[in-house]
Amino acid sequence: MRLNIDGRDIEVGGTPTILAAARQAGIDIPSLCSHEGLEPFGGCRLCLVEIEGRKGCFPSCATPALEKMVVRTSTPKLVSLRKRVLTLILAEHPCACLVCGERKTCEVLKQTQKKSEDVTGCQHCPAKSDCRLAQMVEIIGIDPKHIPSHYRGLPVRRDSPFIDRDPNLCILCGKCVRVCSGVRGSGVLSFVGRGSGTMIDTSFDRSLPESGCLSCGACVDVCPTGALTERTVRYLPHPKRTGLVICPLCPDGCSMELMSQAGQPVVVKPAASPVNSGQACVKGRFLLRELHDGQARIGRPMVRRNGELTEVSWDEAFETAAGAIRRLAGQGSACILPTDISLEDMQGFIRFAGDVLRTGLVAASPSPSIWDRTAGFASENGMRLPFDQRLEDIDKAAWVLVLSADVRAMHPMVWLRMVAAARQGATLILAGRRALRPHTGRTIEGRVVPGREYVFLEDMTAVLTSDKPGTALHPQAIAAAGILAGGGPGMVLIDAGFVTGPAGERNLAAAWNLARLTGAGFMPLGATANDRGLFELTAAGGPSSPLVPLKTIDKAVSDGKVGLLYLGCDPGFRDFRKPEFLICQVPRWTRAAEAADVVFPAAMPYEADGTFINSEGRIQKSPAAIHPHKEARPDRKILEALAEKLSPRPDHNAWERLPEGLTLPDKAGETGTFVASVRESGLKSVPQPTAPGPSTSVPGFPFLLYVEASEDRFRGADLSAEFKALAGIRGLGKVLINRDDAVALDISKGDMIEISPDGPVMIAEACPDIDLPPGLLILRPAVAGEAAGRLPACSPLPVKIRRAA
Amino acid sequence: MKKSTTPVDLRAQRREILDSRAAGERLIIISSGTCGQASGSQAVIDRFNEELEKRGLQRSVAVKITGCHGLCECEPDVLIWPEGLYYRNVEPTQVPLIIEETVIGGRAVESLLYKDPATGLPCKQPWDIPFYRKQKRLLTEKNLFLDPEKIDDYLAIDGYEALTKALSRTPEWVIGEVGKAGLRGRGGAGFPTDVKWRMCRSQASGAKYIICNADEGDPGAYMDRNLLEANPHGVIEGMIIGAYAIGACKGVIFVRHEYPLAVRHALNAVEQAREAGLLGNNILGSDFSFDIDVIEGSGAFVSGEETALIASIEGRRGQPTPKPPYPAERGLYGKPTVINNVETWANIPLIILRGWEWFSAIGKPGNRGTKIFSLVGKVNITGLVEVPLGTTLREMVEDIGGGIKGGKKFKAVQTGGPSGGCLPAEKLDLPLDYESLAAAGTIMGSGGMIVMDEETCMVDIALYFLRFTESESCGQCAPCRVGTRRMAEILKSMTSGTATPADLEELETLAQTVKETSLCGLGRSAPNPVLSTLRWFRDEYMAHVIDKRCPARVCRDLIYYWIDPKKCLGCGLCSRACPAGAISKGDGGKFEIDPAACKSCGACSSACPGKAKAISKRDRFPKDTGI
Repeated sequence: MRLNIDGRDIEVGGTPTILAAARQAGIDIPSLCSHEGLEPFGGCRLCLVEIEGRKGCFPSCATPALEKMVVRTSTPKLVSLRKRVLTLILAEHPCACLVCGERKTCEVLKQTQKKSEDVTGCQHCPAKSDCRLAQMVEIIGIDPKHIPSHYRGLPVRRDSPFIDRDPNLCILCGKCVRVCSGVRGSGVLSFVGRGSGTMIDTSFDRSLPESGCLSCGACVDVCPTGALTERTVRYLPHPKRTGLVICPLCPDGCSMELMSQAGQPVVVKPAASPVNSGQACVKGRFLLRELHDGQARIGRPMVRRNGELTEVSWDEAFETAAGAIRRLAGQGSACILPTDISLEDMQGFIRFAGDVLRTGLVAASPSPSIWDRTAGFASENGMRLPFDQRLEDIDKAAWVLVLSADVRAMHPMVWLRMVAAARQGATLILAGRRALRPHTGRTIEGRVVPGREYVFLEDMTAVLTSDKPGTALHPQAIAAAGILAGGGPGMVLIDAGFVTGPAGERNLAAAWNLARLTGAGFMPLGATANDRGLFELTAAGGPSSPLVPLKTIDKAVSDGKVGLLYLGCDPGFRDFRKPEFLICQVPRWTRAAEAADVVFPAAMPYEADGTFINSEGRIQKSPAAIHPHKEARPDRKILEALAEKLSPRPDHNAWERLPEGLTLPDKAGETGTFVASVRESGLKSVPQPTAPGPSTSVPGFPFLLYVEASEDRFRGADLSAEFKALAGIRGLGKVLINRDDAVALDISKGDMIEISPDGPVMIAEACPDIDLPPGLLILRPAVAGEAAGRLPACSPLPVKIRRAA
Repeated sequence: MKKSTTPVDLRAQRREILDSRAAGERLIIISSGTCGQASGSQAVIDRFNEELEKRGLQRSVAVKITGCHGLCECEPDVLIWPEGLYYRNVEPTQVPLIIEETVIGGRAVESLLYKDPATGLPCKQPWDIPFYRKQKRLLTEKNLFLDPEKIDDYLAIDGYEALTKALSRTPEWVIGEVGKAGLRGRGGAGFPTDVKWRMCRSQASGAKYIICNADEGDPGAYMDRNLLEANPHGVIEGMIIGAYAIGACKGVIFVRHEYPLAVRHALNAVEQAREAGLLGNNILGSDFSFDIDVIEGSGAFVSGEETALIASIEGRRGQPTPKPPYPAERGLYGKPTVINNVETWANIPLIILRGWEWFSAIGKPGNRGTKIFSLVGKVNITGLVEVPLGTTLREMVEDIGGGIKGGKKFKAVQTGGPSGGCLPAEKLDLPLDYESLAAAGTIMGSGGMIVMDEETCMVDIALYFLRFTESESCGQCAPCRVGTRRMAEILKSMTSGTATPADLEELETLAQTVKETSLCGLGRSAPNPVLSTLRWFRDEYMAHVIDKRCPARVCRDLIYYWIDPKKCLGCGLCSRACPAGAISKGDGGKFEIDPAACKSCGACSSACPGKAKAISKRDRFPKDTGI
């Protein structure tokens, strides 16, 4: 398309707005409320332009560019109008510093720490130099004489653990509202009030967490002023260095900009990668930085002396460990490695266990992964799955079937794709018991008892194949099958929680058969940052011997068959009996590390170069962004050095080199063929197993209690146990109960209830939930450690409940 | 109601209804719209039923409850048919007299008749009343014979006949008729209705919607409420015809929550139309299917703006979105949508049934048909007025409105609500059409018309409207949100006597900025009251700013009250009434007001006995001294 902007003939592709076309041509039109990826808003009125042949001014951010259009962006009239509009915007914003003649000399002071809460000028503003409004004042220029003062004088809201909201700095550009509902599907923030009382707030003035805010930080990142800021930023120095790293806290593999100052991460912001395009979640955005230091971070190697862990030099620690390994060579050894570290580090663990410890007892934690499960399932049925679905395939889907307990929290980038698809008209079909409704779009919710999701899936298949005539089918399954039958590309998303447990096999088969029947894409979602990586590493011939399932080691340790255990993470064993010698190599203290004989301080993934493979199979390099904390070292370096002590060999340092075969097919991305894998020949439906699901209620115990463990883990340690804020966001420490059940028992929100199984009584806070099936309780324990030990071992557990006195 | 599956069925039903009604049937027609009910119509209705039953007349005399008849000050009024006798302000106690004298005796009750204020002569029939005589009530005359809750009444006056006619022709023919008739949108901007329809029709989309905008929010305007309350089927018929022309599958009547009677009548009428087979699948045996939902607005003025209205229906916050895309391209739920206001829809059946030639003979070229105005303010007769477009302001104010109350002088008329402007006395001969009004700095709007006399301060009026738009601004764009507030602040400083000439300059600049840069129609038209008063009443602004004087003596900070010692009786009532303790007894037993302490509340003036009338307003800052 050709058009003329400010006398320049330009040519642009697609159907851009005038603003986008101008920017493509390098012409900058001032604007405050437009943002790539957000719906046009047209509220700031700074981007007004004139169009030849049309009367009046038009917001270039919302007006589509047309062939042969002649646009003027800076006529004297527009310049003057822009100035006046900016003056009006500044009426509601503290602007003394913006019009001060000395503002240039103050620039350096803006970078400093801020202690004051009331922001009366840029000097005290947590936005520091990163203020779009200040830039606009520089570009447009204003006449300080005519600025009326409509300062709002409202209190700063600090009701979120991570985000401060200062309504006095808000210019109502609505970016946060649009990103919250349009991109994140949350709809927590909205405009409230009218006229000059208009504000951006939650509905009914509730706190952010109460309104369902997951603290993803997207609103903070789009805010053009200091109205929405990360709490800690004002107290920290301005970052000087930036490194691009892969977030190790979930399998999505977001690129994050880690900004640091003097070896200390200050802010971690999402980068614009194809995976996360500028979005993140609470873990990457706010917790990654917190994980760096604090009391739980281990800074120096330690060795147990006289029953106490004592800081020692690396050499001394290596000597102690090497001595023990030699001494206990005959008593059996085992090694457990985490899957949220880089491929290179995982390879280090596996090689070390095989070449140096010479043990077959090597397991990844957690294991088996969804990849092992689905690949195993396929090979049992004589197939090989290519696992070639990409995140962008979800965008194109007409329906998305989600088999995951909480995709929104655990696979945030997958969730964003689902929200985008829903906005395009896709239907989301949710098989889990939890209702997850994006702010807009259509959803069908199975609300099935956990572990019995196959009922919902098999009924859908029955409707589609006109099988089981005459039987009573799940009503939502009938509705969902109607969508599936409507054609259009579909996508089945399945995560590890869905295929574990007694009914895992049946769930997996049901999901697979449904995908086969409809020709939908079949996309497993990993549980940790690199479990897909470990799977691919093994497939590419990485480790010399196959890994064993985690429970094999659990059993061997309990049976006393392991003399030396080398842990790269907290294995999460229920009853952990310490073997004779325990070596822990972790960056942060865990229960296992506290019991260890030798503790090696490992580096965080962003402190070393490494490679990660996310759920969609994208291979991503994560370079070291800062030096390791204190004396911590990258995992593979520790293992190499220890190996050198035990059996010097020249090829130890080659552990870092990844196998040649580790290049993954990029089918979806290259050919653009959606659901290629399922249509491939050789993939077929499988016989549906009919194993019984979990037991239903027992006389005298009318409720079934399910315990949902926290899934926010890093190297086996429960993040929500350490970060109370995360526990709050995840709603841990509460027991969910069907609302009608709660009403019948006179239980209301916030009441404490007694849960009595055939054993010790538990007390928890009740949280009535309209989406939960009746007769079901879901306990999401908030506590790790001792209290967690008292939780029931089996799930579900028949219980009775009553309101605690 | 039986379901009609063909036009023949419908006609048979109409015949049945008409046959069941004896010719020359005696009717007692009682106006009972929201306004009638507020004036006590229900008690009058009850009393009529009671008295008729007492006399055993309930079978031979029918009581018909209708919507508003338009003459507000006579509510509740009663019309006795077939004589057409019109009784004003009927009270329940007068009911037996009416029955004895008129219903049984056939004589008029002199005392209850309307008296022509000019001649003092009684007017027996409504068409004798000057207020009605000058009007052309095409849309509103039907109200007299319609019980809005009964579809039979509408069918009896050829209701839904236009629909059968439309369905027998092509959609293009319908749009062509509307176009040739020259109908323009009655919501305010006067956009040609057929152009909007055609734009929507030409969109390639499976689903299309139509919306009836009944979110009437202008202060003092009640045209749409009236139509929807009194003749909901007329609006619905218009919508069905429109949907057929556009190819819409679904319609929405978006009506203010604050209009409970209109909501009830609309819901009831939609239900009746559905039962009668006039809504739903295969309407009257055609392959055209259409249905209507009634959705209540939540009370935001801005929701009358098309895109904000769509947002509100979709369950989002009522806040506008940038245009283009226009609703006709991307409207409700992203589908092409036509939004017309109540009065526009109500005109459609008339045009289709009686033909465009008939319609285009009314009004003036480019401005065809009639327009309903709510004539309020300082005129002798207020009410709902329907006149051909092009009628002059003078005819409205002097002939229909009966001139200014209390023999005072006309000063200005405000049209178009908060988005409109004020016109001065020299514009009294301005014809009421879209172009003339726009040229004079105001708009037709939806038909609000507020008449002001010499005791109105134009700066104060501008402030009143600015405060309205300021508080009703959705807050989305800075020019409207901050600009209206700032303008109101400046106007307030003028009425308090603290403004400087620089403020006046800023006000003008600001008004232009807000007009040119606001996002939606609310903001773009919000400065109109300021700009139009500045244009026609600039001297009044100058008096406020330069002389600190309010010529109309309305602005309290610029006046004080004064007791004329020659008239003061020394009764002391004023002193007791004064909340500020500003009045004391002076020499000679006369009372005096301390100007410094006077808060200009006017309590003393109200308290002063009628025979004395000693208290009057004075300028606080007389022109000669100044400050």
